[in-house]
Amino acid sequence: MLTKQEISLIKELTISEFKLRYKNSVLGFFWSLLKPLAMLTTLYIVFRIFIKINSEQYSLFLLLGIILWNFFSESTVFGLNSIVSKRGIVKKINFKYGILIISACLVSFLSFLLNFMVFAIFLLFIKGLPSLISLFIIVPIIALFLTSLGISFVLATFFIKYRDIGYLWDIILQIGFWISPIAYPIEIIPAKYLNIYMLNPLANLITISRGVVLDNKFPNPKMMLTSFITLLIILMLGYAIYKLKHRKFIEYI
Amino acid sequence: MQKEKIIEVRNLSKLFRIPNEKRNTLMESITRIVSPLQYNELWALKNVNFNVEKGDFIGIIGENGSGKTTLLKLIAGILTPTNGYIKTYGKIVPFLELGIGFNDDLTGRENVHLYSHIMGLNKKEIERKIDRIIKFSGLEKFIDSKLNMYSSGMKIRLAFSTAIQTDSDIFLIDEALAVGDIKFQRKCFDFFKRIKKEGKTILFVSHDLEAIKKLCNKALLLKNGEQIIFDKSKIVSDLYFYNSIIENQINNNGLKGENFNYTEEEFYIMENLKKRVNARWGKKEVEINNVELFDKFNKKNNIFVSGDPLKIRIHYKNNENIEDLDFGIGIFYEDGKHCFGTTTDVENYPIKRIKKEGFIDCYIKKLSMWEGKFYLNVIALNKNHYHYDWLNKMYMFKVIKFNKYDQGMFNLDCKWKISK
Repeated sequence: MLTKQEISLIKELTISEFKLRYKNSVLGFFWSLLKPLAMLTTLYIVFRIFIKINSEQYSLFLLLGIILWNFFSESTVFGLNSIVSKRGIVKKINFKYGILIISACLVSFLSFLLNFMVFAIFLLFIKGLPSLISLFIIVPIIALFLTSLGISFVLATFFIKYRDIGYLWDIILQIGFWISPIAYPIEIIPAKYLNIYMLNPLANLITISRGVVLDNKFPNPKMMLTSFITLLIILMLGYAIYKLKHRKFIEYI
Repeated sequence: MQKEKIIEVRNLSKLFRIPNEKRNTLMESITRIVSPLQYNELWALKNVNFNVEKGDFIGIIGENGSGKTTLLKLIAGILTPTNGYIKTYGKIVPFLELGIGFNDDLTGRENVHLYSHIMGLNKKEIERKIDRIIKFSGLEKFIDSKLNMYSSGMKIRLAFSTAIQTDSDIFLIDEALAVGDIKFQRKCFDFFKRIKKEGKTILFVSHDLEAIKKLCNKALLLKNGEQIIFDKSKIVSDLYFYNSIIENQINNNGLKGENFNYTEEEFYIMENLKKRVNARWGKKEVEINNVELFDKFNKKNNIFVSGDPLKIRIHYKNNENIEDLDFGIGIFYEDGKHCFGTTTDVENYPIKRIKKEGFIDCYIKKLSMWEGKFYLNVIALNKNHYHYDWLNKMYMFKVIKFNKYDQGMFNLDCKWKISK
């Protein structure tokens, strides 16, 4: 797999890329909070006040959904661009180009952690100190990261040759936002559609995360297992596609 | 002693399929099923074979588009061969371009960190070397400023200093010398000499034939992707030079035949040389039909490199069965100054039993002039200096020099030695 040197390259790329994101702005990472907070406000008004959705602690519920979703959409978009945007290096130096994909996802992960800290502060204020079960959220978060990574492997590889994958993925993300349980709880899905609905790997992960943090209950094992298997398939398939195709595509970069 | 093989290239070919129209989108790939895409096939490399041994300094020469960079990219592993294979034994640093991967929004120091990571250094090595890198670049003052404040020269200096600190066994250098001022180029040269001494292996693409001759022990000449020759660098660069001037002149001027190396203006002068009133005299008892000049590869030519040999072939016709016959030549500077003259008599070469028609060759071992245009006199005469046929400055040839640094009129063999 990866050598020590390659891991250190991932680290270096991630840190410098992360620094760059906030370097040229006075407010720095506060800008990165603006997007989830704006989304939160809008969705809160629409769903809570207009549609009058019935859910306890709706603001926390919504915020957690938004930051998890943002992490997913951002890391796949960065992942998609990761190789093409570094074409200057890719054309001239031979190294494991997958490193670029990994570090792109890691940069989004760091932004996510900042967002998550804000969520934690909200949580403390609104709900008070959470129980130890909340720590279990690490598991779905890591799973979400690996899912994004697997998808990024596929997207980045094909994006080298087929540039309209970018537009296509944009549309899929738009749809994905509404077919994932972000603004609404999973309970509103009619039972007969639930099985199809749960094919969306994010539906499981978001539900598990909310369960452990907001309701202090362990996820059911069946849910855990499906998530784990889906994640494994996505990751392995993504990596296999990358491995098989990227060398050939890079000649077209 | 058998030297250690470090790169092995066997039957290497690389095919590029270049679509006639660029179809880079998924939509277009789907429509391709209906209307198949027309490809131009380009063999960037065809059946290249060579071995590099440890410590070799290999020059790669050829015209633009002959496949030099493709070859380096294949060796670096950026491209994969269509046919054949490359085996490398050792760590490779490609200098395909300096300063790639530099980010304008990071500081110099951060860039050095990132760049050396990409080049394959680990964290410990970088920490150990970063001061040396910064010192070598001479940018201590600016190292913590953002790179977008740097001039392009400063960026290259920083990139070069970083790149040379990476320990590796094989260096792939693509015209790195083309950038930078004289001071920087000198630094590059010093660096090349140093790593050569350390026994590293270098593959070096350049158009600077003098540099290739000086630095490399072997060279590879590519033409349209084909390997023309892989041999000692001096042999290869000379061959390349003579071939390319002939081709260039043919392509550029459309002047064919023996005058291919002249511009139209020079050609006009040449034609007039022959038409002059005083261009030729003598009763032609022995007539000089034609004069041809040959370069070191025994090719007809009229442009030569200083220090190289020249052969003058004089075609004659003995109209009156003359037995007392000598031939002579004279070489003049463009301004008419007499440079050199000799005859077969002076050189003690008696001409006996002359055929009715034939030619005589005059070999000049080494052209001792640096550069310029030269006129040639060719004379058929007898021992008493009676001239049968005198061709006065009817031929012209050019001498050029490789070396930019030597000065003056003559190219003299010269060696220095200091007292001990």
